[in-house]
Amino acid sequence: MNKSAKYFILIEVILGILVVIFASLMLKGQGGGPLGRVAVIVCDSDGFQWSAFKYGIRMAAQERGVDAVILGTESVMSLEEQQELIESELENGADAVIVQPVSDEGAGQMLEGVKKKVPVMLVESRVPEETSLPVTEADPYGLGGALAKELLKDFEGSLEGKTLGVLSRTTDSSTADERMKGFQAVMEDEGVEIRWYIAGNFDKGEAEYLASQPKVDIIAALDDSSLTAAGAYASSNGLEGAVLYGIGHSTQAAYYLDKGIVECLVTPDEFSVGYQSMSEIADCLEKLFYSAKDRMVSYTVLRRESLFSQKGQEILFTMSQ
Amino acid sequence: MRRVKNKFLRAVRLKQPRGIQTTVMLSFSVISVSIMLIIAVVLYLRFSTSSRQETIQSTQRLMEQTGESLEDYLVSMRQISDTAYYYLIKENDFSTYEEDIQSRMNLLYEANRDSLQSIAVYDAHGNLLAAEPLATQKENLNVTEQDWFVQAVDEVENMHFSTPHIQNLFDDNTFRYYWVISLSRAIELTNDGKSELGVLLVDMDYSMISRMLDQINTSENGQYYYLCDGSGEIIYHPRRIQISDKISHENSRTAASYKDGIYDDVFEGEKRKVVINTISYTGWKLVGVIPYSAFTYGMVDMRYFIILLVLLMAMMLAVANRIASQGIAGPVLRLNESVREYEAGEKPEIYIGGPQEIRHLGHSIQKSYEQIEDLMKKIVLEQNERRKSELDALQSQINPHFLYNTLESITWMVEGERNDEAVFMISQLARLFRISLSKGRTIISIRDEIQHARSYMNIQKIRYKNTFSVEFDVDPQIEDYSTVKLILQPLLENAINYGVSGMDDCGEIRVEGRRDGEDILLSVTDNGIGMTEEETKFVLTDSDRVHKHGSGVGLVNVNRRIQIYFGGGYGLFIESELDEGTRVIIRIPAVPYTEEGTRRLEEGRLE
Repeated sequence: MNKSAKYFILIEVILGILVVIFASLMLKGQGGGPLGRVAVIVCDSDGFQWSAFKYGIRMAAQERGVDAVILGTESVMSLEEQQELIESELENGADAVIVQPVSDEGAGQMLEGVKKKVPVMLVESRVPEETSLPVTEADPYGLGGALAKELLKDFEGSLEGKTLGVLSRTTDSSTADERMKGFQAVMEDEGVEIRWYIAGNFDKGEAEYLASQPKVDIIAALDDSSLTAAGAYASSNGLEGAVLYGIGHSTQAAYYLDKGIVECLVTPDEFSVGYQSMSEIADCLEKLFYSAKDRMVSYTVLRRESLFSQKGQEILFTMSQ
Repeated sequence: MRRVKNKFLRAVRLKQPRGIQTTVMLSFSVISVSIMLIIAVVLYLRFSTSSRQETIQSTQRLMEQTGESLEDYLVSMRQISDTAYYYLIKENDFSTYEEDIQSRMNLLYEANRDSLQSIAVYDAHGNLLAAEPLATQKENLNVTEQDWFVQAVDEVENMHFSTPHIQNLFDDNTFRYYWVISLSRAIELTNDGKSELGVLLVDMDYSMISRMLDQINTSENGQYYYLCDGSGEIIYHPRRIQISDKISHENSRTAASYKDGIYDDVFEGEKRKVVINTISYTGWKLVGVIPYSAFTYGMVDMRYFIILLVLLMAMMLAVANRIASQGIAGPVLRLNESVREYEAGEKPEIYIGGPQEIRHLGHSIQKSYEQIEDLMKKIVLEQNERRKSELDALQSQINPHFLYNTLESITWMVEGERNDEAVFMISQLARLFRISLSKGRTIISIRDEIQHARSYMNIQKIRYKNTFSVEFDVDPQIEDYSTVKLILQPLLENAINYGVSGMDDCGEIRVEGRRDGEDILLSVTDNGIGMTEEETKFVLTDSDRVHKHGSGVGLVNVNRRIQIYFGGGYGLFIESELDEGTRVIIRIPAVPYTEEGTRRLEEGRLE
């Protein structure tokens, strides 16, 4: 075979390969579907407190071309239930998982196992163990601290002789723990007596516990469900002169603030929790070697008079979606 | 620098010129690829331009339709406001017809509840007079500070559309907060027979507007639509919260300053087309944003398709070009190949075929080669003739020399009355001449050459009075092989003259002959004075150097004659040592002495 024939065959082969490459690119372009399917698992997903979070998830998913599936869940979930739910979603073709981890021991290990298969992003709280799992949340220590500062501000820095009751959904979750630590760090040396600290799933009427608690001057609710439970109890029974402060992110919490039942509301930016967690997961799906990072979102302090400010209205807008 | 320049020039000099087929194919390929690329680029530009125009036009159409829907919606809201004012409020006294007003407002509300959030009437102090749906107003609420109220009171002659906001009027114990756009106006109401100023508020459900715009914000190519008021305050934006959270940004203030039309805009480094459509009465701007990337979004597949087409065409053109170039260059290449083969001596035939011009060329080359061949034959013949005449001249140089010496010896014999010796010598001379002549042939048998040498030595021995002895030791098997005649005689002459002539009765000359593989070796050895190494070295190359006593013909002539007939590898080889003697060896090929062999040697063709 002479040189010219060799060159001719070489050129034809190269052109043939290019034709195949471009034909496949063209066909691939025509069948381009969503970037992936992301399962979102949070406790009591139909609750008011998740509206802004879900809106954020939806907006980011829409922007990034991700198929987001928010699973319907109960307000209480065990580790086994959560694991079962995740595995069932993975079997159904989920490419990534955004999950609010349960506070049970072993949650970290279970989620580390899931992370080996698909990208995982934790939201709202961390797992009890030390892990490399990324988290998107509002700084719980900061939230607790902010709540305490607002309280101090209202009492003009003097809480000497005042009594305080603390409400929290759980006491064993890292988030509740951190919020309490942040709260106590500010309250330390202020002369306030924490008379009681109760925890429970207030959805099922545990708020009635409040009636059996000794009278206090101030009640601090460290999460949305305890705040709304306390708000509901206060609106029907009153708090015997106690002032209610809390951390919350539902319209219900905002309503109690609007009504004057809650004195001050510290609201984590739940829209950003949803939006940023989904954006991170979308990056993981889009970029081959991308590793999701921790994301810290901000929070806003709302008072009754600032509830309908520009910022307050935006927060209410996301909560109302 | 100079080195680089030289290297480049050398590379250019060494570069082989391209073949004709390559040149033809390259030219065709360059032309066809250029045309193809031009067509592809023109097609792509034409298509992308029309696609861009189509995108802009469809955006405009969509915006017009959406604008009309928005206007219809806003008009219907205004009509509700007008109906409420002119048919319910203005005509009735609140103190007397409050229930009637309320029920008619309820009817109005129920008829439009899909698009309405609420209708409310306030007096000038912000007291609620009537509202639909019936709801409890929030405690400690001062509506007079709310924007819609302020605007209505400030500009009583107009209706005012607010930007979207959370309705902050009624206590909703379902924990809901409604995002509304307020249409407010100052009204004249009658209470207790007195006419007073009031404010009519129609809160439109924001979701109606957002749904309308959500429906058109479905594009995946980055194109989107938003709504802002005349000052650039965003009413609707698909990334409204991201903008308020500063995650995303929008150039709404600039867009609000534009009149209806299409504008080029650069925002945060991104080039985009902005289409503006103003909504009547409100002054709101419906803005369509088409990033330039959106124009190429749908074009990616088209790009691939055009590239695919170009590649397929290139493949086909490569085949077509090759066939065409082979058709044109093929006969030329075959002609060239046959000329090369002819030059290498492989094929005598020159290719004659292809188009008329190539055939003519083939014929001409064939004819030229035939002529060259004839000329070459002539030259070879001439060369042979010349060589033969040179040889004859050499031979003629020997004969007179020898004859002179012999005759001189015979003269001495006759003068010395040695008649028998003279007779013997004359008979030997006669034999010598017979062989010398050999019917004019140059090639004779070794037998005759040895006989010639014997005759010569017999003559010389008489002449030199047997002062030396001669011994012949020749293998009889080599006698029937061919040799050039008269090659031993000069050697013997030298052996006598320079070897043994000065010795007293002890001179010995030995003539030997034997087969050595494919060659025959003849040698003449004497035990004379011999030669130095330097003399031995130059005896065959420099004829002027050693012939102090000789004829000037001697060994050089013999060597040359052997090489003329048998080639450079044959001839004389000399071994000599001073005061020990000299041995001269003749090496010739073993060519049998036959008619054919002799003839071929005579013609100078030894193969």
